[in-house]
Amino acid sequence: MPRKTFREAINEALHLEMERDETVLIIGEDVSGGAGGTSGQRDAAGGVFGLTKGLLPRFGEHRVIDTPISEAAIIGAANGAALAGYRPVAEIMFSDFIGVCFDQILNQAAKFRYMFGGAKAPLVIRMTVGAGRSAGAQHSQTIHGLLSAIPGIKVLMPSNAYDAKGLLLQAIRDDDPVIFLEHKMLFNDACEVPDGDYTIPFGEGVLVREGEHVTIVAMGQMVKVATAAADKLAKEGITCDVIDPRTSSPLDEELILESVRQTGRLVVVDEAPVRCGFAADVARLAAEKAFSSLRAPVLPVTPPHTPVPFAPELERLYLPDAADVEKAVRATLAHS
Amino acid sequence: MSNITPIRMPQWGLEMTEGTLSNWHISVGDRLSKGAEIADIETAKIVNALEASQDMAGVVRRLVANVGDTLPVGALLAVLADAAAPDADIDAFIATELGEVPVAPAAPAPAPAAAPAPAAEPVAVPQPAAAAAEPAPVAPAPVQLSAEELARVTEINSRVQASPVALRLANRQGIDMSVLQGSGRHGRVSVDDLVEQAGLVLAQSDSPLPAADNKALMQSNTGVKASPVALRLANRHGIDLRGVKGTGRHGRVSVEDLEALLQPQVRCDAQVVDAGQAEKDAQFRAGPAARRLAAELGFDLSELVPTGPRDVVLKDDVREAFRSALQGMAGDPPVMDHELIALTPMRKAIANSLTQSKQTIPHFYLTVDLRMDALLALREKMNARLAPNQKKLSVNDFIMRATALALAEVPDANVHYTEQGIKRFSSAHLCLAVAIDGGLVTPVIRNAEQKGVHALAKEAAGLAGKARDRALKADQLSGGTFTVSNLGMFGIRQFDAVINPPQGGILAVGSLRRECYECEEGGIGFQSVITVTMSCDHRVIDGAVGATFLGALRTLVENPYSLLG
Repeated sequence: MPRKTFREAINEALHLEMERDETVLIIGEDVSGGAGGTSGQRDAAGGVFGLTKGLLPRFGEHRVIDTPISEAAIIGAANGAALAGYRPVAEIMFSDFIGVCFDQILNQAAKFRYMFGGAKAPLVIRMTVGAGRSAGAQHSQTIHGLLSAIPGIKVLMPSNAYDAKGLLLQAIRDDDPVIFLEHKMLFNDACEVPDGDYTIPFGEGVLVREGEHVTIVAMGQMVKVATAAADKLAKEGITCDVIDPRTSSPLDEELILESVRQTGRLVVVDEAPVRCGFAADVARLAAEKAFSSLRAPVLPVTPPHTPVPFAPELERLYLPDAADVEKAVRATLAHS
Repeated sequence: MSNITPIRMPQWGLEMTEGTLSNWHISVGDRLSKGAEIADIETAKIVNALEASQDMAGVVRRLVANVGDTLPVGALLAVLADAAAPDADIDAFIATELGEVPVAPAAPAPAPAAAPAPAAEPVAVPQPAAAAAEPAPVAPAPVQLSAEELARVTEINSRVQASPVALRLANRQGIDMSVLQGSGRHGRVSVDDLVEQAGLVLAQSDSPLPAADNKALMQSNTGVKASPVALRLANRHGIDLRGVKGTGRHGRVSVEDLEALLQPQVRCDAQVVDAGQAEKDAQFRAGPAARRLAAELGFDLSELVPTGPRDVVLKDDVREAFRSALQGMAGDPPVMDHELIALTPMRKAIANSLTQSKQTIPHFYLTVDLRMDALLALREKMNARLAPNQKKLSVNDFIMRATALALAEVPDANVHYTEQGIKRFSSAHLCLAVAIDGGLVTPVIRNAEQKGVHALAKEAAGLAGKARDRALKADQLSGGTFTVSNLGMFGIRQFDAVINPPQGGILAVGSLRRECYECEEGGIGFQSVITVTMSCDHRVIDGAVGATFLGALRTLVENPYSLLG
């Protein structure tokens, strides 16, 4: 099977689905390629991260729509297009910019079906998340928890190219608003990705590693951190179930609970601060539904409750790493 | 092969092993949509409608089971298939199902440890006669599957929609998931489905942790300057002393230096301290640092000895308590705060018998109030007529009498449970629980229902006296069919007694009390009441039987002249 990067997988999914379904539109800043580039060709770059490369010449300006720098306009247009029967894939370059268009998401898209007689709003909003590139506090946040707290939208955060393609195809076909989060540090990661069409259902996680002693739950970039720790511990005979739920809303509660009931120990690794976030929610789940199975406190491994630092040294300190996960796993095991 | 879907005997609850088909709601040719009633199934506990859990493909082609059949869980009830599927295929499918019928064992297999039933071999017992005569065990003895079998099941399971954890468990246990109904997300098979449909027994992973390799650590710690106690502590908690700055004598690492490192571990525990702790601690004077340290180390401020001015708890006091707690862990001789009383043979016998009773007999309890005014009036009259040297009749004597008569009236409550069967007695051999120094004994009054109140009272007093003198003979201590235990004289209003095996029941009699009640004409009156509780062995006495017995008892007590016959 061919190996493709996360970037290529997303680009391929967009191509496939635009080919298959002519109601699919791309809307966003620079999605046509980045006008004003030195090459003089609009399609040269494919956006700041190169994800929409090649779409413009193939599908034309009426389907690959470059917008002014106005997130509210992007999501507003996408909302309207979705209600009108299109399947828009809107792009907010950095999820940090969501504040500008949050009303369109929180009060409009998320409420369409509920308030307007079950209206379908099949839009996808793609945005990048994550720290690690020293991009500063306004370009590095990971907001899956914030978004998952909103009923009415679905939130995906794949950890690898295979899942990215399958989830994006499913997201475009889904009849509800879906937010698709792309971690910047994953763009160049490659794995085997089939060429053709395949989808991954929402709310079904995977076991990335299998073990007996501790359950580790992680999403996106943190899956890499968690598996690195698990692999290191496995050499000592301490084995972990590493669960990647892939979608934080809906969440595969069943899988997490099933594993925790086996291991009795849970570590949640997350790139957002723990307070009221994804890690806290998973810990809540275990406390609520697997209480009698727990043999140790659920330990979150998350950044501190601060904005993401710009200085590379501080950013490294801020982000959970494999050593932090390893320490947490050992701490749950020490709690006899 | 056509697409054939079997409908099987469901399992409602872990205890259900078989069910009786009491009615069909479907006939050949029907389509089944989600929620459609398929059949009424009667279990030991309930009659319930079996419903289609989803829209089912095809139409009903064959009803395999007959109304009245008692079939084990998982047995084939009916077959669905495309209307066009050839009859031969249906026949072949049914034949395959029935062909796998295992020979039912002669005796119902005792199934203490419910073994996971490999669903790959459904125990379908179609012959109603055989099934009715010998309920087939649902969980066959644990089958040790061969490597090939496991590989085959794993191969089958790989095509089934299942949660990853469920898949892992099924493959490990050799459970064929293709025959299970998935009730998880998107219809995938979940661990719950394995538990409910395949009898999987869920256990937490007990795979041992690798032994901590402390040798290297201990060796490197030995090279560090540290107090012996700090060294021991560090080795025990896996702390590498090379990274610890020593502030103790001559710069060696002290216990105090380690406390900072140990606290994060203890902190987890500290959060478990109940919420009332902070409030409780607020009553004690302590500095903020001492408070925080005490909370982190899990100490209650009330346990600490304050040495500060005006009895303020200092940080050092917390440290001192922590240090002595650590030393306590190291195995100092415990302070003797109790005496050890040797177990007498009677104590051991009581311990053994009652432990066995409470652990093996499924007790349940029925409580009823007895209105005593009529009986008290009768007792007063009878006692007034006694000669001065005659012993007065007690309330308990009347209750014994009533119990004996009620047992004769409801012999189903006058029983012993034995492995061979239920022993039902026509005579009430009534035991009375007598507290004696160092324990209790239960001497027996034989054929109590044939003895009047006076005779019972006399015999009971004689037995109690002998019990206190330890002069009872063996035959006065065995053969009882029912026991009466009375703690009313101690003011105990109501209690639950432990059954005296092999007896089927025991009656716990509470104290006589006055209580108000609503009169028939609407006002408030007062009456004398005793609350009695019957403990029943559910293996031999069901709720209705116990209730019938208590009803008879109450009628006798509340119409006390009937006790005089």
